[in-house]
Amino acid sequence: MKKWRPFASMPEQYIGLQEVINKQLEVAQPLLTEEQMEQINFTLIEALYTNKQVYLTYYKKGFIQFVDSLGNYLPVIDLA
Amino acid sequence: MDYGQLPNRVIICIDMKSFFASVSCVIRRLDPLKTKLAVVGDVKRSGSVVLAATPLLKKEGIKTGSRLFDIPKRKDIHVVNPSMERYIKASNYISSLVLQYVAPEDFHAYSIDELFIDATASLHLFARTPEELAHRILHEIYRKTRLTATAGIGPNLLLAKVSLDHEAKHSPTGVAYWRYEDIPFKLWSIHPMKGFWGISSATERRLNRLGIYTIKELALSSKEMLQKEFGVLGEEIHQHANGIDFSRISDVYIPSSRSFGKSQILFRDYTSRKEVELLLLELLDDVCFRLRMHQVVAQTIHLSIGYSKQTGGGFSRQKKMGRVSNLSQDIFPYCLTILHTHDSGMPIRSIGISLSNTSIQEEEQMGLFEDIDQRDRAYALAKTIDEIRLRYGKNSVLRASSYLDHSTARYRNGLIGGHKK
Repeated sequence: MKKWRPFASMPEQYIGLQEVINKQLEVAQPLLTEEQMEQINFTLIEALYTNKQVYLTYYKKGFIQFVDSLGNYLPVIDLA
Repeated sequence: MDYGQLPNRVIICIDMKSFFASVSCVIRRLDPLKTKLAVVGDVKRSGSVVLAATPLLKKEGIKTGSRLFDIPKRKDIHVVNPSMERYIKASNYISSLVLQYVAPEDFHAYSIDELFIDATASLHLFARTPEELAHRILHEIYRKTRLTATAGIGPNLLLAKVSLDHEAKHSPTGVAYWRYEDIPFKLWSIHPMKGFWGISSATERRLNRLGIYTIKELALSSKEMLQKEFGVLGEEIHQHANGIDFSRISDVYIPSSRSFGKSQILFRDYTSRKEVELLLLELLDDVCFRLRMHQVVAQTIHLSIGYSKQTGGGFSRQKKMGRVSNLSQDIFPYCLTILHTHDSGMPIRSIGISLSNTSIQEEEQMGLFEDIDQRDRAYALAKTIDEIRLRYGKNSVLRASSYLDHSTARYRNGLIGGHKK
């Protein structure tokens, strides 16, 4: 594609284009039903008291994020 | 010619009709196809260049490159300043529409108003034929933006592009499809040769000297002879004349080292060298800022100076620097050396600086006798200034010299691509 390289006289265009492409990868925030939330809550409480390992994913800024159980920890603010 | 071995993909090249002028119409709620509108650099300067004109105005002889004073002052002719930010926004919105039909890997933005897609893999999802897909995309663009586009289709990028330039743009349907078997009839009848993609008037003259006057003659001439005259390029234009192009959109070309540059044509002739030095410093500041944003350092500086029209000429020289850098204060002395070595002292009308031979900043090697602390402080200072400029705009921190009358920095910081935002 060497000969078809654009003469990028305005870098602003390509910055905006990259944003469009990145935006395409974003997913809508998943909506949890009452039951699903309760289910997650039970699983967490169980894990907490039986000291079992859990695998966590969460939604942030358009992406499903993974929690690295070795390095990171996920601060939980409200346990009540 | 056996075309069976050659790439046979579905490449569509889409071009926006009179893009700048049409967007300027739409934002004023005017119909681009029924309005006579010209976009000029600055409506207050009668010598301003026309950047774009709507098709109806083009019919009256006004085209890109005409001057503002060439446009008759009439009620039905609109003359407006550019809106570069809107053009970029519109271009990116159109890209987002097209990206519904192909993966980003199969999408290539060729310029602000031209793009290529490789629809080989996704065609079957949206249409039965390439033409149908092209019409569908053009229709969607029109429905959502009121902007007209045209599309050329081909088995490779070259045929898509030339079918667009030589048929689709002039056809009432706005779509053209050139296949390999059309080459003898369509491609070879393109005349003059310089209208063909990749052939400039200079190349055409050189071809004429070899006795080649048509695309057909070029296609049937010996590859060796062209290679002898043009080098690698010779083989390329020989292939193009035969409608052959092996490029694939998904093969992204990554240059081993990027160069960063900026140039400007001055509003008047500058005779005082002190003034030119200031303009060069401002230009260099801007290029260095971009280098730092990309976290690269450069090894070579390239300076171009153009003298005023009366004198004509100019020079363009480069110099390798003793150390790699992205700080203006390191590079500026080299810039001055080039200027004063080659300058003839004539009035200057255009200046340009480009920094090349770039490498990643972290890999930079320290000099043995250098004061490392001082360098770190210089970098920290540059970084702080960059951050302020990023947050509060390019005019938030300036050199005091940019407040002198002959400075252009403050004015140019309000521009995109050299034109009004």
